[in-house]
Amino acid sequence: MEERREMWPRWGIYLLVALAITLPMVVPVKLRMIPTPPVKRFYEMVETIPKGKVLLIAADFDTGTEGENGPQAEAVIEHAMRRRIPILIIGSDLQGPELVQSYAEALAKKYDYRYGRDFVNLGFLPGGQPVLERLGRSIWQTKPTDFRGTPLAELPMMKTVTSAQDIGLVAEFTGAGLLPWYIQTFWAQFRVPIAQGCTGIIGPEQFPYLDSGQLSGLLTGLTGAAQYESLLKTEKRAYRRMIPQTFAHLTVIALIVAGNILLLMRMRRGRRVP
Amino acid sequence: MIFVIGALTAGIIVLILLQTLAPVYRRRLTALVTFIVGLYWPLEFFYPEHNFLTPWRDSVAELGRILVAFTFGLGGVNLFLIHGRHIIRRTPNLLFSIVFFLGFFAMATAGMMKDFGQNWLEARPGPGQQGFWEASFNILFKGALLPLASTVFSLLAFFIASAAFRAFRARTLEAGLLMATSFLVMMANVPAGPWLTSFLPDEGILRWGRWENIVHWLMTQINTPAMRAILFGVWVGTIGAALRIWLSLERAFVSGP
Repeated sequence: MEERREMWPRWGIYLLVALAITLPMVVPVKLRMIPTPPVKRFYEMVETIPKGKVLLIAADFDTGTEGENGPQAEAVIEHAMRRRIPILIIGSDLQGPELVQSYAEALAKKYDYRYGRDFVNLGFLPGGQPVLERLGRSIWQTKPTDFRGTPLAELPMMKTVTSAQDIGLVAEFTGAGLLPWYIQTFWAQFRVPIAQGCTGIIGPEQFPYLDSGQLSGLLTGLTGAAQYESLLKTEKRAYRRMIPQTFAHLTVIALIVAGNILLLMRMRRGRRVP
Repeated sequence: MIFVIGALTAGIIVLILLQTLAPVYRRRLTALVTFIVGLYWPLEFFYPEHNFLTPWRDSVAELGRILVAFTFGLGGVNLFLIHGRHIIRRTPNLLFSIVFFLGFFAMATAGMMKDFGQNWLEARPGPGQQGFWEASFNILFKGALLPLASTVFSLLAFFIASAAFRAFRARTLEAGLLMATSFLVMMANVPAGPWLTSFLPDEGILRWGRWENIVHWLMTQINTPAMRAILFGVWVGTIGAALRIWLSLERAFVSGP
């Protein structure tokens, strides 16, 4: 009974988190994003895609992780469009290509990109690593139509895009551990550089690949997307979402500190620590 | 189209024949097929380039894609059976099953009609306009599924906050070190951390005092070796599990639990 009274009520914590997330949406707050080295490397990779080569966007995420992967993909697409680099979209997840298509369509108006001429969506590509390997050898044979069923021969961009040799960079966005598929095919077999945007939770797993040079750039979570936006000198979805996330992080840190103060107080009183 | 219908018919016939086999022969056949198919990739990979197996690469990759399509069908059939049973038996989960069927058919219809039905069921929309099916799909996909999935994922924030308060206690030196590191990493993942040390220069020895550089060092010099060791263990374990499945030593795989 005493322990229950002393325990911080769960609803109080939930309310605190809810307030930390919603208040910054109402009250305007300005934050300065400082890009980290992996984000700068990703940016440099897009910046140095040779003319005549395409950017392959691998949309391996779904609506569950769209909150993080969506703004990452959007920022990279905008960068490619600024440089007038053609974009090819695929996805090992059903929903990913559909989501990325909507970002590309929304940005296409601003940068005068036209579907079929400047960007093409091949859609969902099931089958895992063997299919990616086949795609690297022959895009036309692996996926003869786009996501709407239009033959590739009818899409002007695809006339010069036939295999991995025509891809300047693979940008994979995911909330799952699919990176080895791309490393073992595009990087190891076809020597195409890979950069990745991943959810915050799997970020630490990707650093060995970054260290070995198999990964040429990394955006971790929403913060990676917001830092990329800062390099593009824009403040879009990622930046706006970063503000509530900042306050949520600070709240969690405050809660951890409060929990430890409570622990110290209990220890001083000589009570049993739960 | 003829090939697709032919392949589907052949697939169904093979499945029926498999069902008529005695369980012991079915198990042996499953084990044999698993062994032969599993043998292809290691042999093709370890042999020098362009060996006698190389011409079959495309066909095997295509087979993988077809199998994935079958798993979607299997998943759909399973969902129909489970939720259909709830409706027929009027269990307490009846409402959820009705919602499943409504959601399934609404999304499937809107998704298919958006791409294939526009030409023969509605007038082609003008520039900047959305047709009925495209609008329906957008409402369901972007207006319902996307926020619902994000909401479920976002609930983690509340649980993590509650768990952090209750369980993240510096009782030992190791726990204290973990807490200090997590504090640094959490602050670096939001603009607050780098902002606190932004007065330090970008160049020279003092740059190592900047929050983002401290955390980058932690991630590359402390996290990376540890993660590499974990990944090494994971992949060795994966090879072991793959070998067990390939050689049908994993009994549940060939004969059920």
